[in-house]
Amino acid sequence: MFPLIVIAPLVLGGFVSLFMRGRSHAAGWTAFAFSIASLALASYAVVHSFGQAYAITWFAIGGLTVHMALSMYTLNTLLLIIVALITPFIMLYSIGYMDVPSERPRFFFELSIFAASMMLFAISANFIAMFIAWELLGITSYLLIGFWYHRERAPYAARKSITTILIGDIAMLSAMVLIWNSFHTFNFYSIMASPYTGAMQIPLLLILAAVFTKSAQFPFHEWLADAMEGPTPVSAFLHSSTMVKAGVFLVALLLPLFYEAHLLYVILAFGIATAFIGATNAIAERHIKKILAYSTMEDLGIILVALGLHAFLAAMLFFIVQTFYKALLFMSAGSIMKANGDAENIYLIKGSTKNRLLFVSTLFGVGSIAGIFPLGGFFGKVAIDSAASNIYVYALLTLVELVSSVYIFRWLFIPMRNPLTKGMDAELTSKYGNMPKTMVYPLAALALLIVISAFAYAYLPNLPFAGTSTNAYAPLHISLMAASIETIMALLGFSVAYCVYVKMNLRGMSSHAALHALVYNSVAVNWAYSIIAKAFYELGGIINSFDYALYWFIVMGGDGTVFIAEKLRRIINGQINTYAVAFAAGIILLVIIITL
Amino acid sequence: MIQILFISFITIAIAIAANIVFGRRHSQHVSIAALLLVLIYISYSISAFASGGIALSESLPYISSLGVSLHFTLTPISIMLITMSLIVTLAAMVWQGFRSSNTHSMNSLLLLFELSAIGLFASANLFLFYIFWDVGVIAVFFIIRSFGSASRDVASKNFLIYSIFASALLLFAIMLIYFYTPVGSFNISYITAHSSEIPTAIQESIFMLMFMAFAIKMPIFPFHSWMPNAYSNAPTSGSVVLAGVLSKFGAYGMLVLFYMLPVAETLNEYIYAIAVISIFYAAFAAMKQNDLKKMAGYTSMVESGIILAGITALNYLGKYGSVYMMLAHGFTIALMFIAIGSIEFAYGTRSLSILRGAVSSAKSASYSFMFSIFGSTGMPLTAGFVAELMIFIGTASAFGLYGIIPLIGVILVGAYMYLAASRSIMSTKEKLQEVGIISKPQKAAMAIAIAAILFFGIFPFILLNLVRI
Amino acid sequence: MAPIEYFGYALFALLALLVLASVSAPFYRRKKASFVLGATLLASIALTASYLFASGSSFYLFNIFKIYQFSMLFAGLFSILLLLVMVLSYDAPSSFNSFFMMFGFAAIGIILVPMASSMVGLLLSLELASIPAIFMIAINGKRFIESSVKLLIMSGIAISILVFAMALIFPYDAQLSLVQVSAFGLIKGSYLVLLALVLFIGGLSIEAALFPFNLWVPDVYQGAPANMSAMLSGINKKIAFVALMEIVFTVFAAYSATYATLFMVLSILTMFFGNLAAMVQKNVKRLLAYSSISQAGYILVGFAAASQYGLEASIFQIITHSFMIIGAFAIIMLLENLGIRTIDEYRGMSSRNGYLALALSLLLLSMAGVPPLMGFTGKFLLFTSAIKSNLLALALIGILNSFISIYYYSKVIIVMYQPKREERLVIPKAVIAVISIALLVIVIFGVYPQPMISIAERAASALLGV
Repeated sequence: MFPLIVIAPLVLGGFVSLFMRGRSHAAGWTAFAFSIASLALASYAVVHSFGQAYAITWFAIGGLTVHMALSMYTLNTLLLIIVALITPFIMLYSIGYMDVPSERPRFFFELSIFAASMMLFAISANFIAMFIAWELLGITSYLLIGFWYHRERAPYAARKSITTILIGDIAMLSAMVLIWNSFHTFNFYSIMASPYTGAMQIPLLLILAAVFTKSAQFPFHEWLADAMEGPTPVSAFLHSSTMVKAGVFLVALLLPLFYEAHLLYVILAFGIATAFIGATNAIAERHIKKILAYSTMEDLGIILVALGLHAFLAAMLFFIVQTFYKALLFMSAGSIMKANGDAENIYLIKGSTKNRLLFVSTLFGVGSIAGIFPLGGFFGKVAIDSAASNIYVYALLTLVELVSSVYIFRWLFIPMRNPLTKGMDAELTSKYGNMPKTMVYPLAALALLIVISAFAYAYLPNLPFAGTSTNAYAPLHISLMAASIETIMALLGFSVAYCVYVKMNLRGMSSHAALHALVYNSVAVNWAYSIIAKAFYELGGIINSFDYALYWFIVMGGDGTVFIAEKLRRIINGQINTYAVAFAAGIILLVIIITL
Repeated sequence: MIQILFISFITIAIAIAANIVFGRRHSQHVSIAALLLVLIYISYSISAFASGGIALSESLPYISSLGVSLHFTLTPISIMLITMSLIVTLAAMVWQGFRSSNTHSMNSLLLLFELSAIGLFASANLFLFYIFWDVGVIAVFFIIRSFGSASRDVASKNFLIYSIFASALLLFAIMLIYFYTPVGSFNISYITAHSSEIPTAIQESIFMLMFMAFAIKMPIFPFHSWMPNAYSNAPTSGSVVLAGVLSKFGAYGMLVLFYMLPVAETLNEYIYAIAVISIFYAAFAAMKQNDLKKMAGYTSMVESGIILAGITALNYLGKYGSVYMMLAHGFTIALMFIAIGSIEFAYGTRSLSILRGAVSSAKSASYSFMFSIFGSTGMPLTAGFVAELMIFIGTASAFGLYGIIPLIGVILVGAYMYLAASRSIMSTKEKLQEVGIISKPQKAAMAIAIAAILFFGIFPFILLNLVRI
Repeated sequence: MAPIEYFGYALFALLALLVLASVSAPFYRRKKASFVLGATLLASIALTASYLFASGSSFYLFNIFKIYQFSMLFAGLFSILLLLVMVLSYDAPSSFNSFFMMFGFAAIGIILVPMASSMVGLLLSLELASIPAIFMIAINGKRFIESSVKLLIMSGIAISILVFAMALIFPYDAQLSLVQVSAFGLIKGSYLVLLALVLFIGGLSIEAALFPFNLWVPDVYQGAPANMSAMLSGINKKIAFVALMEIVFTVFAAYSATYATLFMVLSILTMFFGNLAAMVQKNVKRLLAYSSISQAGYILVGFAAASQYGLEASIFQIITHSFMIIGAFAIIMLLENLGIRTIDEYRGMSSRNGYLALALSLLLLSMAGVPPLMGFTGKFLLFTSAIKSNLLALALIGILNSFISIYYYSKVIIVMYQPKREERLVIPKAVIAVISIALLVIVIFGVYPQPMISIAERAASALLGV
């Protein structure tokens, strides 16, 4: 169980910072130091035990032997390194971001545990270890989203996320139960190695449901947009490498099973749908972070599309590059919001160009998401486009990419263009200028990583994906045609955004209500959620009335007995002659009985 | 050979006597010490279970003319449940603290209840089972009666009438068994061995009578009407032992019943259906509750349904899964009631429509409440996960896909509890004025329950290994 | 002369002393009279206990008294109960100590009932036991006259019916002896005999408070002073059961099927009547009167079982109930003297006197049949005996009734534990002693019933001559 040491520093760091109430400023640095240690250990573990698998028995009873299994195969190490790499950035950023001293210890504790859970998830090799990490992710994310519990929307957002996640957790548990009963093992690799049976279909569908809740896929996607109520570092973390990535990672891990069960088309369909929903909502949204959240939905949808196309390597490439640009963009959004006094509406946010380093780093992120060569995003998207053998899928993907280019430039342009008044100008300049260093430099580093991540395209095909049969997958390649179309789409998106939001200075789409409703369909989805919730609640009301009725029915039964008793009591009237008559009647009764 | 159980009985009896004689002065110390001592005995018995350093069967002559002896056995199941009952009772006792003027009477009742719990979980014959059952009921009745809240009159009356009705059914069933076994016997293992000689029709009536008795206690729909009132009007310590331990009397009885009569093998599917109905019924009924304690009551009814479902699977994993669920649920519901009690102590209300933003000043209680929700939705590393995994593997292998239906109930009740938590604990729109500060003993009680949930969740093998031996 | 005969003479001497003490009671002061009576009763307890522990053989004393396990058990039991009632009645109003004179006579009759070896003897001792009770109620004052007159009339009916029944059976059993063999075979197959059986049961049912012969019971129990209610329900009712056992199970042994049916019907009616009527009572004393009716119904379950085991269970329950009811009436008496009568007035008893509330709760719980108290063991034995005799329905009805009974017992208990601040109650030492003894018996033989069960077992087998 050697790889388990990679999570030790984070767990330890979490608890240490939790108890640093008196010196809360140091809490952040402590957590950061421990996350660096974690990164070092992770790197060491990858070198030391690459390709190894570990298992110990957790408990065993009556044929059920539950192991804790870990593995350090390529896929595991990939995610482990990504998480370990991103964590210090997030911690560093949070040091500047979290300016409420009393809440710092709790924040760094929850964040550390969150990161540790994701690392455990990365190296898990069976359903048990995976499920532990899976649930811990859900619960820590719940606590983090509801971190500002005193805000109006935070409790609601946290509840929405945990309710959705709970559905997934239970689906996963059901799948585990069914899988055990068919295979008598929880180990991913043993399950994939054993011959496929039809019994796998339902558990796999349940796993997909769980994945859809975790990775915010239609119809469970709406919690992700509301999760923006959490502190920004959490969003940056949650959307880049942790939590939502867990779902798609699991699909990637179990892809051979989905392939054998002919469920790829389900993955593909839901992926496309979600990508579309994410892209359209992003273009209509005004909340600076929610736009990015819908963008994440879209990204995850695209990864699922790639997996659905059986383009494993393309999916993993996009998986890697998406991590960096999304982390960067969220951090950038957080910094900009901070300078604007926590304003959230892009039409109210101003002066995003005041801090040069911040702005330039942001440009890298925007470029990557739009798919500008040679940033990471370009390779990721083109690789998936190239794998799309079906023309309709290809067309839809291209459309989504166009839209994503439009909305990200909209996201960039509108805050740039918002007019500044005189007094405000000086104030914003000082705010941007005096921004904590930790809220700017990590972005620059991430911008660098976005560029570097492009090299994953060259490096990925050489990795030995043990435990999965790589040759069955579509190879990783980039067709020139797809590359050129993608570039055209990115530029087209740029021009459209420029025309509409800079030249025409369009403020919204209120004049086209029907179109707005169609594009901004999150309202409709939320309405549908509330209808379902209401239906359950009404049913609860009916059952509750029945419960009362049952109670009163029983009480009435008691009353009935008392009524009989009351009648009986009347017999005893204090008259001795009544008693004598009763005596005679008794004797007669006895005589009748003996004669019978 | 150390006779763990008799020593435990004597220890607790001495503590009760000390409580009665010395009054409230040292009551808390003496009572807690007694429970800790018994806990140490039981821990020793866990470690010595395999090596045979302890007596697994303890017997003294009792009523020879009925063939009843004071016969107790220490099985893995009884050890698990006794451990649970001890820790839960300990938490309940610690919670109430030192200050109350009648601590000693509360402690005596709690100790008496614990005595009955140990006796019931370890009794090897139905006669003793019945006696300890009733002693436990009466102890809890007096706890509700003497220390309960506003409408305890109705609550305690309902509780008592339902309980005694259950006892009456149980008594009749036990008498029938006694008469219809070849050599009139109350001994559970003897009855199990010879139960096939009982005519099927009689078996069915015995089964139905006992099922109803145990279903009332668990509680299972439609025998649960006493539950909301009793849980909500009992004092916090009372709710803790009532939901944590007393409901396990029924669950344990159900387990004994299902593995005692062969007729269970033909009836288990129907009972499974009842369990599923009960789960959904309780999950939906929980939604309209305004009182946090009532909500917790319906939650615990959902878990009772799951326990019953595990028992009806009639296989190894279902059996031990439901026992582990009894353990896990004991701790979880104890924590939930302790947390609710503490919140009520801090804010003077537990009404969902009034309570807002509890986390702002009652931090420990609010986090405990959240943790109990995690626990009851079966988060891994809590005992509930191990139990749910075992139970549902059991039910799924017995009933196929139908076996995982109860999990939907967990979603429903979990979703509702999160809703309640987000309203009462997190939202601070209209913050409430606090009326009390949560004391150290109260925090200690929460710590005990959380520690137990995590300990048996992370180290399930400690108890489950007993089964393998 | 065998030692057992010395025992017989000692017992006889004791009874003679009792007569002497009673007759001379008016000439002495209360303290002296009660001392002599108490000493005699203690001696009687010691004697019977020594017989029971030594398990002496059975024999006839002067051909009138049969000394065997059955009679000695009840003689001892009644002596204890009489002693308890005497302690309770120490402060009872009585001019010239007439109360103690009556009490002494009653005591003789009560002790003689189980020992009687012939029907005439039985009838006479029943008379001796029940007539003084009428006076003992009446001497308490004018407002008790009504009760005593009701008791007088009902006793009169009972006695006349019993005499008539004896007349009916005379042609078949000229000796009127209570010996099984003499009756067996001779009195078979005649409707007259069956009628005699019915009349015996009916006559004794009046004293034993079986429905529908028991309608006078609530009035009299409520109307009489509580110490007399204790005596009537704790002792006089029990001697009726003893007489019923002696007559029915020996003389009419051949008719077991018939009397089993009769007892079953009576038992069911009595249980339901007692329990249902008790549910709506507001006066605690009257509630206990109904409760004691229902207990009579339970006792009859053992009779209906018509087996040695059933008899044993009935004997056990008779012992149990007499202690429970005397303990409960002791508390009622105390509270009644303070003007506390209805259930509402019992509110807050626990804060006024915790021991009193606890004692009454335990006694009531025992009556309701909650383990590990003696009442539970009694009911358990009774209902198992019914099942053993294949009377499943009767057992079920019995259990159902004990469930109903929890309703009104719990009502009293719940009220007692409601908070209400009032001044403390002080209990006289004598009453504490009586309550404590009753409570000890209930708890000790509830937790460890084996000795009491074996005593009942031996008594039952001695009666049946097995």
